[in-house]
Amino acid sequence: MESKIAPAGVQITTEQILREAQERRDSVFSVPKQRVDDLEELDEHRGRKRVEFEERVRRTRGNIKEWLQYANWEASQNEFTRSRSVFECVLDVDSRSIQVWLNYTEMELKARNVQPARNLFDRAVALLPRVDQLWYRYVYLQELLQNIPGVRQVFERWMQWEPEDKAWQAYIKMEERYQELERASAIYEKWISVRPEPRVWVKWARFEEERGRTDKAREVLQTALNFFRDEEEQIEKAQSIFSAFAKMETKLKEYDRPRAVYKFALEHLPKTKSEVLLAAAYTNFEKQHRTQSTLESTVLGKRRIQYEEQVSQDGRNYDIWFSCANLEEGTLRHLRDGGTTADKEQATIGRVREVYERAVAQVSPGNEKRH
Amino acid sequence: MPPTRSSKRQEKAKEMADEETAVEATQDEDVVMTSVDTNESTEDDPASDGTAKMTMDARKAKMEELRRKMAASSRANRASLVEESTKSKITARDAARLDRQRKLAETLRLKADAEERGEDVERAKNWEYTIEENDAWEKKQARKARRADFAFHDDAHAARRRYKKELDHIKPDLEAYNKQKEVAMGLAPGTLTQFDPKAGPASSPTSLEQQLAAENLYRDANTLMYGDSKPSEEAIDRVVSKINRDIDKKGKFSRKRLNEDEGDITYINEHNRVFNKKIARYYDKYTAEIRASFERGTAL
Repeated sequence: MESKIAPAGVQITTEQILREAQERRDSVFSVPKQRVDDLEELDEHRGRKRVEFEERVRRTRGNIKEWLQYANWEASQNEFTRSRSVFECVLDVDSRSIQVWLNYTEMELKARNVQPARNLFDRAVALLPRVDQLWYRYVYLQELLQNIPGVRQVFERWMQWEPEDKAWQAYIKMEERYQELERASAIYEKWISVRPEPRVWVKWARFEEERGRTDKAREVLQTALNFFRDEEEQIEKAQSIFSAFAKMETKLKEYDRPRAVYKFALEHLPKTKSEVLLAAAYTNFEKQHRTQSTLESTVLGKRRIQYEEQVSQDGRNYDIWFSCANLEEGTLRHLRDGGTTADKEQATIGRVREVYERAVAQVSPGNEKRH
Repeated sequence: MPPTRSSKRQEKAKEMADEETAVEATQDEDVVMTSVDTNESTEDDPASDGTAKMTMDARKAKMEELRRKMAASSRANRASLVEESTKSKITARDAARLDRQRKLAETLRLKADAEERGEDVERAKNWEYTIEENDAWEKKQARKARRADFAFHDDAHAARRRYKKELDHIKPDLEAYNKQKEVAMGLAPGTLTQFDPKAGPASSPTSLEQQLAAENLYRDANTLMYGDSKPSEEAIDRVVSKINRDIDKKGKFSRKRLNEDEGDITYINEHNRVFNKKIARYYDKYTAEIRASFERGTAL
């Protein structure tokens, strides 16, 4: 008798099973369509649904999603008092959830109840003042309804909380949209008083410039400079103010002020990368609006800084020393050609000597010419 | 109905018949005319027969010409008919596509020509743009670049981005606002807004009214006025349409993709399929060897 316990010749694979299952599956289960014929049936249907929803939220009280489904279903049935009561229950459960607040206001707005929506936003914003989303939505709603005084009120309330910079900018942009530039200026002032950072000063100055009030812009930047004049590190931070000031004055074709600003900045700043940038800006400025001597001195100054850097890196590179010496000798020759005072000549000669002395002081490590 | 050959022949036959009758009529006329003309000149007599014959030839020639004209016009009609039928068949989308292809081909040709000649097409094109146009273009590109970052950083950032995008849809109603402002600042009506001749002679508001209006317009955080604005119906319409727009956008957020069947069914239901896709996304790079050996059937 053949053994019946041996395995079959051809085994089935898991892929085969899965594929067959996929091919032979039933259609997806769909909810049977219920037709509601009259008011009684409608009431019954609603009652059943309400029971179902209440069960769900009773079981999972913290699950906001279920609550929101319940509330939105009531709203879709145009039962607004019930929907509102459900929303209030959710707020009782978790009043700090932004989702609930936004859903609630959306429900009111879809039902064209504008004042209730505004009241809700008022509550939300009083409860969660650090959530920017709610403020933005509130402000947007007011503006969409063309209620500009309302917009102002909301923004003023928001600014009392001293929010981030973007919020201040939103307020200013709003005033600009309605051509209230004086008020925008006042808002900038308040912003500065809250957050006196260099970039805020610069923004204000640019705003005044674009507005055409250059005297105000100058005043702003001067106040900024006075504010930052006192300490060294602050001056470092305030480089943007210097460059902004200089740029503005150059646009207005006043050439002495930027020069003074640049000189002041270069004197007080330590030799950092940003200082080099400022020096580059200064040279550009001088190239455009210069007198001969000042241009030369700035160019020379820049070159000197460069050489100093290179020399400090590698003191043995004789080429650099030679170019350095050439630079100084060049200036000397220039002076002699131009005809200058003896003092200046002496000073330049002194500098040339200094360079040579320093070059010679670099002793080679060994007796060979090449290492 | 397009002209068929038989109908055309009928037409031609009819016309020929017409023309022949016309020829005959004119011939008769001519004969009459010549008989009338005999008074005027006797020399025309032998010539009059000739003229009658010539007119016959002339008439024949004229008829030939008319025939030619008719044939040509019917051919032209046919051609335009064919053209129209083909045009109606091309959909707008195809037409747009062909248009684009044509333009692309043209630009490519221009570029090729310019390269042969050794010119720079870009520079030549840039001559056409004014400075303002160029500035506006660059500003637009910069704004696009700034807005392109759609990764989620944090809630405040997302909220602000959404606010700025929505601001594009607001059109500030400066007219109404300026009217309010006029009343608030006590200016004569018409300083800030357009002069409205239909409105009656409105007197400037009293100082008390002006004060109230100013307080109303420029509100502070501590203003006690609340809930006094009654938005118009169209304002509420705007709000509702904005909400509907948002719902539409949310619906279109994840595009439906065609489920190209991979062939390898490793799931038992839809949920399982999506889960397998997710797992594959994260772990495929680590399990490459394992999967390869599965395929082979043996480990290496």
